[in-house]
Amino acid sequence: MQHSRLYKSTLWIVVALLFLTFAGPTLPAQAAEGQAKVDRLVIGLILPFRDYFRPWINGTPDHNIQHDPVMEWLIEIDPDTGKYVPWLATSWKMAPDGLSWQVKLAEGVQFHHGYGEFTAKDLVHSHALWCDEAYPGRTDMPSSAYRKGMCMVNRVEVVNDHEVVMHCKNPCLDFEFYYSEGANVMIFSKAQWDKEGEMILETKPAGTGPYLFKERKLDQYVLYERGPTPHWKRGVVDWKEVQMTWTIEEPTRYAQILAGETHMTEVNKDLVDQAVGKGYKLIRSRGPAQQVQIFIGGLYFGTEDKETGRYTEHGGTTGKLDLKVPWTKKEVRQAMNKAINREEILEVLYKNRATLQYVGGFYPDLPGWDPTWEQRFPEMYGYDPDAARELLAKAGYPNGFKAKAWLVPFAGAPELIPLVEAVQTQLLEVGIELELVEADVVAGVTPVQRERRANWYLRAGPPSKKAVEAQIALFNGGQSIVHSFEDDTIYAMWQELLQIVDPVKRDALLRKIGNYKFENFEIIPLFDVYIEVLVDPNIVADWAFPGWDGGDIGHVWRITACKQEKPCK
Amino acid sequence: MQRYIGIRLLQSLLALWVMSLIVFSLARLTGNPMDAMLPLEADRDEYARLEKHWGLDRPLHVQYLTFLGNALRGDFGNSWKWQGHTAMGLVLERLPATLELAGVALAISVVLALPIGVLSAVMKDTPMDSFGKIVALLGQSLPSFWLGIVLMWIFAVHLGWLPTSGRGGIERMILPAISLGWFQVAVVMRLVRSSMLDVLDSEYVKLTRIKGLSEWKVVWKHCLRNAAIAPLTYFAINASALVTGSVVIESVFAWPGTGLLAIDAVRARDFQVVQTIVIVFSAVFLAANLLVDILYAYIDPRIRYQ
Repeated sequence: MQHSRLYKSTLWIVVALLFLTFAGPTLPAQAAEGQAKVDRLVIGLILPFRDYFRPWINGTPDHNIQHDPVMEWLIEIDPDTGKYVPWLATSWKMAPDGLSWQVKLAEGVQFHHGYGEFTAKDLVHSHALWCDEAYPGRTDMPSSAYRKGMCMVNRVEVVNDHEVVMHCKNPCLDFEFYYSEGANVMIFSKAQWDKEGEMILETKPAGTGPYLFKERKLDQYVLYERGPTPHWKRGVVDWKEVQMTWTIEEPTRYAQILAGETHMTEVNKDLVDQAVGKGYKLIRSRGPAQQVQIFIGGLYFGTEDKETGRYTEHGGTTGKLDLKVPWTKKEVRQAMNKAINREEILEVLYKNRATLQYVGGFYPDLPGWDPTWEQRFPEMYGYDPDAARELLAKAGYPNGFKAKAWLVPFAGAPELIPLVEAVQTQLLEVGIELELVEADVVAGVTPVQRERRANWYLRAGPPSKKAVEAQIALFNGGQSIVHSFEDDTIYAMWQELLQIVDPVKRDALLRKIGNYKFENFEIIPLFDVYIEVLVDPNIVADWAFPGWDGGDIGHVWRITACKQEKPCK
Repeated sequence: MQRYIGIRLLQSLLALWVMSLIVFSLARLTGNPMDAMLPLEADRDEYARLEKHWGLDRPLHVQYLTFLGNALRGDFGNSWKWQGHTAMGLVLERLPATLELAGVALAISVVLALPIGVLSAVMKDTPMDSFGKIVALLGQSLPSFWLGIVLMWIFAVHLGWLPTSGRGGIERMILPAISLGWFQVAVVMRLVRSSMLDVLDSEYVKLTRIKGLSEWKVVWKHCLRNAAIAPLTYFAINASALVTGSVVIESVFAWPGTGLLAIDAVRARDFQVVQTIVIVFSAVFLAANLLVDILYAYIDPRIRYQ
């Protein structure tokens, strides 16, 4: 009898436990009206890029995501229009000679932790942190890919507390980009620096943003808390706290959002589709943020530096143009482009969630855009394997040729590997055999590119959106380690561009450079892609970000909470 | 005995020095840290400035001697990736997390493996033995990262019983510890089983039974003690392997230990931290082996150097 009662009791307990276990996911607590359902928004990201706050140490714009909630810049990139709009700078005007900008600063903006009002001295200080190599109190050398552009401004003249004139060494028409959140010059408090020194920035940085930096756990997370008073520009932001966590493993990041441990995350497109099927929501950047393209190595047509008569600023290389490489001929590059079925790749790999790219570094909303590219693209670049074979035959390769392509994994863009494999298959149809070489970017690819030895290699990459001038400097002007298509004509146009002051003429010359690249088949352009974020619609309503906030994602204050009972789809 | 210990200690130090040379050389073969730290847009001037700042423009042998000299004083340099932190400081900061995880994994492996191994041997060729063999097979064939992801999926995502990842309370330790310790369960269990099978057939065991001792005492008190030599040897190596081999599990579960630190440091080409981790791990391995060798020498007087 006792055994029977014990058995029945046990059975009921087990049934109850099973019911509780499998009853389904716990519904989120209902929020009080007009409030977020959780106090702490948790964002699951892939890499921290940097695990410290000071942006000038091995600086990269990708690091900006960590500064975004706390710091502010002079100029904002509006997510909805993609234009530069006022932020800590209320207006800016270029002098006719292009050698200076008169900038008016916002008034009444207070730094965190009682460090007073933002004024011109803080801008002088923030500029010097990057551009003064001997700045007192700073222990590390400032370094950033954009430093040259940022420090084209070589002097900040203070007119009064809320007005400055920023003087440039050369005409600096791309000033807006370099002082926007697309680059690194965020505004630090001079008062804090003078009082507390440099290292306070790692524990209690004073910015002017809507959130305060609260805590960092190395390699784990950064935690921010909402400011005690409404923000001067953004009002009261939705979240009491925001936490950014880093998890490199994609299955773990996916598991985190499914388990409710994060509320937004980045995963590959297949997982995004699966999650959307389960009720999650996909939010994209308001505009394209990257261009996925195939770089063609070995197009080193620029005149090398000899003893004198250096043409480029960094001429003189160990790499050589190798004319035996078939794609040094324009017809071959065009043939390669015409062998690629972009529509097929777009549908399969990018789920039709990207748009066609025409020219590397050029976007419709940036200067230099030529609207005729869209009409001319199908004829010049469009998929036509027969035409590709004819071009190859005309160039002297009726049976195709062999070459190589690097397979380089890229955190946040897992499609690049199957993309290169797809390109390999499509090029094979016209006789071009690609050997795929797995390579580490640091050990294998970068040294080869730097030394201009990438003659026989193709490489897929997603360069991020930035000022057009910066793109040209990077890929065509010989200004960095990445040497894509370079020749004396582009070098000359680049030098000319640096001296142009008139925006209309500059726009025209940028278009001319763009057309030169377009007509010479500089690369295999593929797609303009958006940054995609997966969110829990029970918690997050929307996030408006342009996609080129330095670190691809920013505008954290524009993450709005779902304040209704039903998910915000 | 002292001579034996002294020679073993010298050999360990020699091995540690060789490790430092190997890791120093191999790290630099993996590429220039500038290429890892600086973005593509960086120009040659930036490269040159930073190379000089970090001392990477000096000849390799100068860099090594500087590193060795500083290491002997306990200074393993500053991390390039984690600015403001010393390399050794980072390793010591992360070591408790790894030790914690390894300790729990070890405990799980012993608690599970010991009784399964003993029972499997005692009940040879019975369903219990078959169960033990299945455990061994699964333990040695299932990749730990796969097991970790599956456990995460079942217990964290679908059932919601445990968190997916990260470090915190004891509930966060369960899944990574099981994933880490599962392989050890199989190995230890097999060792215990085979040692017990050898011992169970011994004459002295027959004598204990003739003397009328209970089967429980025969197995657990007399047989297991004698069968423990081989598992004990493996235990020491196992312990150090768990500490040093947690890289994969720490990555899967975002467990902030030295394994994850090593992965991040390698990715960033932070040579200082990579060197420090390898040297610390080597020291742990060597110390564990030294300890086992000394224990052997105490247990078996025949083990000496002439």
